[in-house]
Amino acid sequence: MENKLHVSLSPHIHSNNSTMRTMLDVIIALVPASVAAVILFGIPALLVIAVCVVSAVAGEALFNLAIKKEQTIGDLSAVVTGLILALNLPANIPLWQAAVGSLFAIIIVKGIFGGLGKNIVNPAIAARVFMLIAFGSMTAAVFPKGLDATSGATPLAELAQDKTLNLMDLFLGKCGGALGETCALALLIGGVYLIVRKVITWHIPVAFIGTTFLFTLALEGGNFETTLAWVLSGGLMIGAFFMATDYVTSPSTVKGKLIFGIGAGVITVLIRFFGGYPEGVSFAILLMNIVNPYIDSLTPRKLFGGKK
Amino acid sequence: MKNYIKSIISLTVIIALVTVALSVTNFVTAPIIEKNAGAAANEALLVVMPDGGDFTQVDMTQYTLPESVIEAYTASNGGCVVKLSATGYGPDLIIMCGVDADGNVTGAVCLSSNETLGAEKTYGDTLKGATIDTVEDIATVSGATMTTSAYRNAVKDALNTAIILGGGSADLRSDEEILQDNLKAALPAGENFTEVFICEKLENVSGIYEAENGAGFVYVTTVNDEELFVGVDANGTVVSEATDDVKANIEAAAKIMLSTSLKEIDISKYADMPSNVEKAYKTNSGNYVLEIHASGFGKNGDNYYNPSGEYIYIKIALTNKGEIISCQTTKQAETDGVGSICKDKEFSSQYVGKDETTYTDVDIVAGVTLTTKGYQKGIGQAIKAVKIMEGVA
Amino acid sequence: MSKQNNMSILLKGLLRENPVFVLILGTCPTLATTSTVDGALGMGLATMAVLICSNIVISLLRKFIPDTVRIPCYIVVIAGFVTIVQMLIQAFIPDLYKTLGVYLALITVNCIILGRAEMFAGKNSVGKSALDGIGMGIGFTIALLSMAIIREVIGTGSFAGNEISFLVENGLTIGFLAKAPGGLLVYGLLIAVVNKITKGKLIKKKEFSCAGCPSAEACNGGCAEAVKEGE
Repeated sequence: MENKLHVSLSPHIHSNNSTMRTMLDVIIALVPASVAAVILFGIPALLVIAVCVVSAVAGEALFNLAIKKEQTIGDLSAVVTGLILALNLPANIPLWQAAVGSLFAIIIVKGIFGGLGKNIVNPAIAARVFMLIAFGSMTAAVFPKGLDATSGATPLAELAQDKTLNLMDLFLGKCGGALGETCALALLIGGVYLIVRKVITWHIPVAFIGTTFLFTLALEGGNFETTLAWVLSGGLMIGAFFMATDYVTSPSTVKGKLIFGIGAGVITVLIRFFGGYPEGVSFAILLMNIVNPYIDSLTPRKLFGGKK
Repeated sequence: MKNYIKSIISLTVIIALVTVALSVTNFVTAPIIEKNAGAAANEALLVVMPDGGDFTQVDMTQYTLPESVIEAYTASNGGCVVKLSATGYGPDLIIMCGVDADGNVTGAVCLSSNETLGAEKTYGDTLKGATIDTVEDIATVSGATMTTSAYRNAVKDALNTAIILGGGSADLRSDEEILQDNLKAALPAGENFTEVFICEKLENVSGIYEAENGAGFVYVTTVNDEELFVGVDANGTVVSEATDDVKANIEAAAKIMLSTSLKEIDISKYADMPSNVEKAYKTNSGNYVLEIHASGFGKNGDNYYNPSGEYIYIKIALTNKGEIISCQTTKQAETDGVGSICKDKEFSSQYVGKDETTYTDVDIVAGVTLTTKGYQKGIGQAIKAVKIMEGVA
Repeated sequence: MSKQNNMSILLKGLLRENPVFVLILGTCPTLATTSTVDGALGMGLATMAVLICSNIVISLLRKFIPDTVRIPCYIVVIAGFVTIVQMLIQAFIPDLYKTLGVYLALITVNCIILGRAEMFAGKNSVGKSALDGIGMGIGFTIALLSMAIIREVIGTGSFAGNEISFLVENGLTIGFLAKAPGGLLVYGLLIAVVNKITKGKLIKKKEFSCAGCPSAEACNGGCAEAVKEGE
């Protein structure tokens, strides 16, 4: 009974309590990915996560103090933002940069626009894009420990010689990338948990990943193995389940959600194949966040009892 | 009406006043600005020729200068300064080079560049004092070969420009044109030579070129440490002047090459054939020719940056003992100027003569580790493949 | 009374009617020349020189210039002064000329100058107009400098071209701020800060009308009348 209250939160005013529960569910759903990150990347991953979460919460508290607003850290949304951002960063990022990114997400993307519910784009995504442009260290891939014992400089070549794309490695996260985006399995577990708990619906992730899959398949000329590698690598999984589904910045109707997911998928593939950056997921979500109000006005909710 | 006239008059008066003010200012500042610009330009030229004095720009339409020359100036001390545009790792490597009246480089600087490694900033100093005869002996910087060799070629063009401006004539042919001219000199009947892939072990032959019109071949051999081009007609008879020893050697090589033929091997029947071997052929003399790919920087399995990149494709000939007869990069899409050194003949020919135990002696190039290490592993797999096909692995 | 008035004319450009952060004029040079402190200072001073000169001349000619052709007249005077300043800088400070490049000529279309000519110099005495030019010029320069200091120190780890070794060696710079989008970000944040500091002291912009306009004092509803005439 209680779960049913969570079906569609966005257009309704809801109490702090329900926000907190939703956020708690998201945090629980992110636990597998966080654990996987620490297993794969070791202590540095733990440090990045800690720094991001602490600076996000501290940033929110101080910002609220500075503008004399009611304290909102209790709703846990800052923890979620910090955690998601951390999972989007490489393990070897300088910690001060991680902190700057968290503060950017909380203060500039969320706080200045009026706090939770009033931000026009997802804070974690905007911060990731900001950091991608601002810091060179964001593009430096890190390689999970234990797989390469020889030299740190060229692990990919060492591993890749004589070996084609190993899908199982990608699925389990034994590949380069940011903390949380490598292990597709952990992200899937978290995503399914969110859907089961009815925190999110399946529409955006399925439309997003499905579009990316089909479009990539077409561009790769029907090569399933390469297409799967494209889908499993990069930030697609974490983006589709955890960032594109943010209530505030995604549509609330089923039709709108499908449009949002398909649009994000198309932009992702276009950037991956034809753009200057290797990864397009964050840009795709950011752009769809920006057009979200138009999607909402194109797909109005039917009035109860209104004409069919 | 009166308003209109008043408007017109007042606007005209204001414009006239402003014009007067502007012309007065211009009268005062124009000479200073011109002097500044002239001094700045002269000063820039003095950097590469400190005792050049005053410079006059050369009217380039009156001379046939190398294509890379953008501007040329003659100095009052008899030398000249040349501005050139070269293509190194990136486009628009702009170089300024001074050459004195005796044909020595007095200085070279890079004015602007799109290079990544920064070698162009200091390389000019090493070229100081070079002449047209010595410039090509000056070493390029390893790890920045593309940039520095483009730099050196630009300075060579500047030296040639100095000769032309001094009334002399210079050899402006490109390396490829020089090669084609040399080949044509050895086999006058031939046209448009292309390199032949050598799949047989030949004594003292470093390259074979075939004429497109079927007139025959040119063999490159070494006599007394100098390259000699020997023309051979379609039947394998030496047609150019050569000592009897050389003639005999080349005719023997030509006989082997003319009689060789390739037969494709079905590699799918070898279960443990390395996956990077794409095609294999066997010659009637028992050698193997393999078409393989190697993983460089462009494509190496699950490369995060560039999953749609390309392998390096290599054609390699080996004896049945696994000794490398020849090695050639047929296709690559490595980073231009960095990994792309793998397409250079100087790079791939390092593996000639190497075998199972010695192929790892070829140095991995620092800064190009991914490409050169991948290349070496690919070659290692080719040697392994020969062992497998010979049934000794 | 008059003295106090003159003082307030001079000081209002610093904060209360700061051309960059409150009137939001001259955005183009603000974003373009604030990646270095040198460029910002040069642009600020050059603009101030043009602003003072054009304010004085336009104020002198205000009785002579007919209302119908006042904008062309202002533009001719301003463009004339900009060209003069440009020639002088090119002749005597060639390094600054290279730094500012095309933005020097673009002072002509800087809205601050035409704005002050239209809003102030065309209606006030020479002395007051000169003070207004000085005040606005200093306000513009301070605004540019404050942006440039933030952008250069954090963006490239240097101050007025001198490297701050502590920042550079430890990689503590955010190169983003030196680029165009970073300029917009710093601009927005500084506007927010100025808004916060002057809260309650500035003209309250509660409504979208003449009364809410920061230039209301100088304009006296001129724009609104012009709009009505246009209808």
